[in-house]
Amino acid sequence: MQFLERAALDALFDALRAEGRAVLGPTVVDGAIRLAPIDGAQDLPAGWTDAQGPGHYRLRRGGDATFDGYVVGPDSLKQVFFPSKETLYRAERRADGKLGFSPVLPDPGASAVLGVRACDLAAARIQRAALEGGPYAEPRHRARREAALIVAVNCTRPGALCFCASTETGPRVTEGADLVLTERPDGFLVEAPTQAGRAVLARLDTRPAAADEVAWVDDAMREAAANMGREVDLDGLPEQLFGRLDHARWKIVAERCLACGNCTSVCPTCFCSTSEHPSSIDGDEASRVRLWDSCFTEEHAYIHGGGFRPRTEDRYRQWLTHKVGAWVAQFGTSGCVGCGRCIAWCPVGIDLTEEIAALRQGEGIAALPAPPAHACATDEDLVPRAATVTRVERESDDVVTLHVAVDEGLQGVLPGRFCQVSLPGIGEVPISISGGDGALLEHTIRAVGRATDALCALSPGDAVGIRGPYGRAWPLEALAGRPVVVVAGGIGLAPLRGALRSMIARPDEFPEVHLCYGARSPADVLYAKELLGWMEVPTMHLHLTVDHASPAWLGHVGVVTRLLDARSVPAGASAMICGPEIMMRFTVERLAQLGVPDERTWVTMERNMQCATGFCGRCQYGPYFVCKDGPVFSFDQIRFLFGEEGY
Amino acid sequence: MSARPRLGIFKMASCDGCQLQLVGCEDELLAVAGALDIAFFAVATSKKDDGGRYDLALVEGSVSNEEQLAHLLDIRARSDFLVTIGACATSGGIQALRNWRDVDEMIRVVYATPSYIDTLATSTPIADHVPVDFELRGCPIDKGQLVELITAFLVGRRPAIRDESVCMECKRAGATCVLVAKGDPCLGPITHAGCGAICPRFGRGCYGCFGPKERAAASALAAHLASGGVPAEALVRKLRGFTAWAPAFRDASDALDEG
Amino acid sequence: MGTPASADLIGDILLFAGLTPPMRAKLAAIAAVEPLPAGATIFEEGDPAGDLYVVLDGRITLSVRIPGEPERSILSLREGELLGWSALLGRKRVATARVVLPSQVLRLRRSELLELCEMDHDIGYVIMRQAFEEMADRLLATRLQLLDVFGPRKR
Repeated sequence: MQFLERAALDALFDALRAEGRAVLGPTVVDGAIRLAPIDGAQDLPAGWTDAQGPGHYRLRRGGDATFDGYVVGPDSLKQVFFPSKETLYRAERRADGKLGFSPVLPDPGASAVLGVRACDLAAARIQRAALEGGPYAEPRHRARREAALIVAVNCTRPGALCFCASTETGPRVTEGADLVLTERPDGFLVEAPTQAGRAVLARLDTRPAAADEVAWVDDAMREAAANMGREVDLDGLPEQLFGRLDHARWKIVAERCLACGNCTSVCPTCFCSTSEHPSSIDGDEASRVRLWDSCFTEEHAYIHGGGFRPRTEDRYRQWLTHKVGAWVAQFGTSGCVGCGRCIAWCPVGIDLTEEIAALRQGEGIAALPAPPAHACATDEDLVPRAATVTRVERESDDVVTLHVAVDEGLQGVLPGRFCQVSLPGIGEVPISISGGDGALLEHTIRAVGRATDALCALSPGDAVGIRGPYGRAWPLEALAGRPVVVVAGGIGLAPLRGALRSMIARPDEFPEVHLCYGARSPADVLYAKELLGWMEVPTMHLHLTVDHASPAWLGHVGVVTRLLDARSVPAGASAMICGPEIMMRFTVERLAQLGVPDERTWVTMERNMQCATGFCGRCQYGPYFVCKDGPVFSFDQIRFLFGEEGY
Repeated sequence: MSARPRLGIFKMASCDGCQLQLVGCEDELLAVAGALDIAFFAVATSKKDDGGRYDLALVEGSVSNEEQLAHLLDIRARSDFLVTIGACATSGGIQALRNWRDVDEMIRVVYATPSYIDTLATSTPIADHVPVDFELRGCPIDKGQLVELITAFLVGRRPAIRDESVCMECKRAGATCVLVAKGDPCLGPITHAGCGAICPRFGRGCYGCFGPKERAAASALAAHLASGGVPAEALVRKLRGFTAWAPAFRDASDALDEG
Repeated sequence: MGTPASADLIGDILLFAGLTPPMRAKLAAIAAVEPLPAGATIFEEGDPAGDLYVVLDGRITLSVRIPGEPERSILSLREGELLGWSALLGRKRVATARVVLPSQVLRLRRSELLELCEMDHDIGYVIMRQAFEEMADRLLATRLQLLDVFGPRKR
């Protein structure tokens, strides 16, 4: 540990500039301490004090020209590493009709961020886990993160809304910093835990800290930890929250909550995003732009036809059960770092620590299931690959199957997985793989919105963009050796078709396969020709029903669950289900009555998957992201949440 | 050229400010004019309404008299995709303040010759009278949103017009919250985005000219502001601005009014 | 029409699994097995209360008339399912029953069945309970149909 004179602080700026770094730091802008480009020590908020309370933040100039009068403002490293709006790629329609996609990747110059607190370094670690630590790594986030040198400060005077001692993320900086400063009246004690930090330190005129100064830091940190303005008990909280999804408190807090999204915007760990597909008026040039979103917006839970989280209590519950609940199962840490921003910047002052204390009363569940482990990260720049429609099959009046050739070919085309299919300027939608291999994909698409309307109107030769495939496939290896019951509703047959083809091709492993398929009407039955062919396959038993028909229809009439009985569900069977969620719910119950256990029942979930890589947060479902941990789940993994309204 | 979609821009009771936003789209106006057949646009061209069909109709203004209502029904019958533009068309506008008053008395007080005035008792949004395919909010509407709407219509996508709070835009823009940091009563948390948080970015509270966002908890915000010392009359005035007659603002202001 | 039913045949029907051998014999005495060709109509919507059936094999659909629209099939019945439950309540037929695949049914004569249930409440209980179970299943299925789970149709 070294000691730096207060008067020498400008030398730190010089040292950072000497390395070619642009410096960001705390400075007073519009009545708050913001993170902004600064030139020297004179721009720092010396002598400023913040008074923070629920829904309240005021700055005033205090006495001493020190930096211990304020804590965090609305900004965090999130603004630096994960900008609120950025273009991901550009697309153009070339003269030959093909699509060209070019990634937009940042080229961040070297930077330094000053005055970062322990809570925000913990938050940066947590955001990194979300954006770089899963099966996919976001290269833009990584580039910005790696370009920044972090000059952190130890908090000696926590604020009224601080509770980092409770979340074990402060007040002492223990991670993520290149230099750590602790302010004393006469100057700063400086530690340099990294090589980059030591290089900067070497440029400064410092002296070794005395033993009593080192001890003083320890004392100051102990004292700070004891002086937190708030506290929270996170122990066992995930189980408790998921055990009380019906807690009356959700409704009570929703009476105050404005669902405005301020809490998530200022939260240094919230990473949910959405995207837009702007284009030129002629549509020939387009791009994809990512922007911060919030689980408090209606659109965050939008699946075709509407939002499934209409009520404010659904949204608050979604946020809190994720932030301090399922987050632990997903990332091994709570998503709350005790910075207090969501309390200060909530326009009506909802206090998360109060809500947590109220919600802790009651029974919890035994344990939250853990998401599956993933192989370590590979880069994913979210840019589609150019592809061409080779064939279009009309399945019904609102469903078509596109055969798509991807120029470069694809790896890992397996039934149950999905691709993101895009039309520049119009949008991108997750579509399950209904057949094909690495060279040719089959996607069965129902026209339910603008993007799917446009996809369904394509002709052979038309260009599309393809990303993927993503997600977990049907576990055919685990299903082999037993009778299999496949239950499909409507377009739910599409993700199952490839699995059925594979099972038909492997009769030794799948000696008895029952397909129970329900469609709205005879005209809505998908793959009619292929189904007829399957009736001739000895290992395949087809049970088909429609919701209603004309009397000329000779098949079954009624919902698909009525097809499930001892004839279609043999003893010892496993099951695969895909269809509307409510149909799956009743199907699972019926199968359980017929002796198929949850762990041998596999379902595929539909959620609003926008990035397909776990970055955008929109398909978060308890401890899972449907895009990477699903969409195929064994039912015992999701039973505790399945059918829960607003989830 | 006849394959270009026909655009008609119509007005009811309004100030023409929203239509003028299109004229103000200097960079994009030529592209719009190239992609669409601007068949009727009274403030910018001399063409008369030829009585034909419109692929896209933009309707400005509220329904304030019988003549406007008849005109609106005619436009709706001849339009495939009808978009209301601006606070008047989407919520009744500032002139809907008269909906809380006795219109006859106001006519007597305001006009020298009250008998010349033929008006309905209320100023109401277009959607109260005919089905509306999309709403573009604001007083006036935002140029960027107008171009996005037209582009989305032409390209065939859902317009990237987000029914979220002004706060979402305010935070993305990096503005400091005027409500929390200055105590300025701001309607941002309950107001539909689209303006780019222009008022908060210039240090003043949002006055809700884009109207309520979905699930606008106007009463909850009012209760909070009241607890901070904002008088009920001030809150009523705040909610009864350019989009006073929008149900979420109307109901909350009525509840405050009744005490 | 049909051939008399045997107690063994009654015993094979899952619906009547709760009946003792003497009860089965009593039920067999009022029942007959009838083959039905495809295309036959068993009863029509609005007919007065008639006999109760159990489908032994084949396929029978229930359909309803909707004014101004073609008749619509709403439910099909197969082996082991009860047909014409309104017989037990003395109501008019609420749907039309058509044979779509060659079928066999067990026909229980209504007046004798009701009399048997009145005289022997143990039999009555089993039959009413089974009818109730079947109603519950159908109610659930009907609810799912009502929900139109496949999503809105394009305009």
